[in-house]
Amino acid sequence: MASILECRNLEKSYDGGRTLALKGVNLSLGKGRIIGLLGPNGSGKTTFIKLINGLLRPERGELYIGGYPVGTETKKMISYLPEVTYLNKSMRVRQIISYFQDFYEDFDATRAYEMLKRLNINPNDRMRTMSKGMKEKVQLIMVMSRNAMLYVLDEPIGGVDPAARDYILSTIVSNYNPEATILISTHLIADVETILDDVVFLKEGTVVLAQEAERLRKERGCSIDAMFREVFRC
Amino acid sequence: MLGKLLKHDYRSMVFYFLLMYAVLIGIAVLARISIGLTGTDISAFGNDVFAGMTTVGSVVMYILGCGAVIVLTFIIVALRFYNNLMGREGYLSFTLPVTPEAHLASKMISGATFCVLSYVVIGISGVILTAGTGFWSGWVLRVTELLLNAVKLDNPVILILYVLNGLTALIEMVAIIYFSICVGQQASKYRILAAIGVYIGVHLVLGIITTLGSTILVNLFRNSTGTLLFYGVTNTVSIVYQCLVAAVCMAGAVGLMKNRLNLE
Repeated sequence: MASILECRNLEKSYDGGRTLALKGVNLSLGKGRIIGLLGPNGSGKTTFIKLINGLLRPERGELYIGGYPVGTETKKMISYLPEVTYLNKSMRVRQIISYFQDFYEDFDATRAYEMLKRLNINPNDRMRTMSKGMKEKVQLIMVMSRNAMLYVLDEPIGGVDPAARDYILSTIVSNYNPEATILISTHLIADVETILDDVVFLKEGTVVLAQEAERLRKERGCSIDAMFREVFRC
Repeated sequence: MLGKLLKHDYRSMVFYFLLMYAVLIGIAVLARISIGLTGTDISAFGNDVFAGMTTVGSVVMYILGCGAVIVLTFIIVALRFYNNLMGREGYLSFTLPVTPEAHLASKMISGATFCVLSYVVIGISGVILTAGTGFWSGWVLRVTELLLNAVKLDNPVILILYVLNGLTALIEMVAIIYFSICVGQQASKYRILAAIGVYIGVHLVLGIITTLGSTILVNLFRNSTGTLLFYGVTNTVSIVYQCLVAAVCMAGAVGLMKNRLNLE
C-alpha cells in the first residue's frame, strides 16, 4: 500500500528545547484510509498536525507528504480543519467559497453550496452572525468540499452537541474522496471509533501504537475506546 | 497567486478606507460651507467673534480629521496584517498553497496603496476646503511658491525625487510595522505590546542613523546647501536608505514567518 505521509525521527520542542512535544516520531500513513490520531491533551497531536501543515518547523527529522517535503506543493494536497475558527468573521459564506475557489484548484463550489443548502445556511450570511456550531459546520463544509489527497481534521467534533457530532462524522464519511486519506485527531474515541480504519496512539510525544483498528479490536478483545483508557490511565 | 491575495487584501480593507475618506471629505465640505458663510478675513474676527470661532473651529476640525486619517490608515494596515497572518486567520493563510514571500508582497502593496491614497485624499480635501477662499490666495499659494523656490520643487527631476522619497518613506513605514508585528509575535504574552515596543525601538535606532547621516551630508555639502545638487543628492540618499531599511525589514519578516511562526 502506497503511503501519503512519511515521517522519520520527527522531533519538535518549545521554549528553547525545554519542552519536547514530539520525540523521534516514525510514522507512515497509507492512502485511502481513515486514521484516528488519538491521545490525551498535551500528547503532541496538534503539534504533529501543525508540522504536517507547515505551521511549525521540526528541529529534527523528515516529513514528506505525497513524496514532497512540506511546502506549497504539499499545501495543495492537504485540506486542513484546525481546532480554531479561522475564517474572517466579516466575510459572507459565499465570499468564503469564492476565496477557497481562488486558491484551491480542487475545490468543488457546487458541493459546498449543496451542503450549505442541506443545513439551511444562507450563503449571504456573515460569519459573525452565526453560532459557534454553525461556524464549525461552515468550516467543515469548506474543507470537505475539496478533492484533496489528505484531509487533516483537528478535533472536528470537540465542543459540539451529540447531534452535530453525528452530522459532522456522516459528512466526513460521505463527502471525502475515497482515494484520499483522512487523519482525525480527537480524544472522543467512542464517537469516531466506528469509522476508523487505522489508529495511532500518541503518548507524551511518541507513537506507542499504530495499527489497523479492526485487527486491534480482535487481538485485544475490546473497543479502541477501552484500549485508550487502559493505555492512558492516569 | 499574488493577484488573488491582493484582491482579497484590498477587498478586506476598502470599506473602512472609503468610509474614512467619505467622512474627511464631508468634514472638508462642511468646513468650506461654514467658512464661506463667515469669511476668512482674520482682521474682521475681532468684531465678529462668532464668525471667528466658526472659521477657526472648522479648520481645527478639518486638521483633526486629517490627523485621524493618517493614524487610522496605519492602524488599519497593521490590523489587517496581524489578523490575517498572526491571528486565527493565519491558520488559513499559511495553509494556502502560497509562499510567505507572496503573502508579504501582497500586504506590502495593499498597505502602501492605501497609505498613498490617504495622502491623496487629504490633498483633495485640502483643495475642497481652501480653493476660492481667502485661505487659498492668502496662505496656500504663498506657501506653495515659497516651497517651490526654497527646495527646488520647480525642477522636474527634483520634484520626481521628492515624490519617490515620499513613496519610499511610506513603504519603509509599512515594512517596519510588519517587521515589528512579526518580532512581537515571538513573545509568549502581550504580543501587541511587544510589537509596539519593537516599533519604537526600530525608530529610535533609525533616528540615530538618520541624524548622523544628515549631519555628514550637510557637512559634505556645506558650501552648496540650497542648490539643485544638494537637494538631488539628499533625496537620492534618502530614497536608497529607505529602500534598504524596507528590504531588511521585509527579509526579517519573511525569515520569521518561515522559521518562527507562532500562531495563537
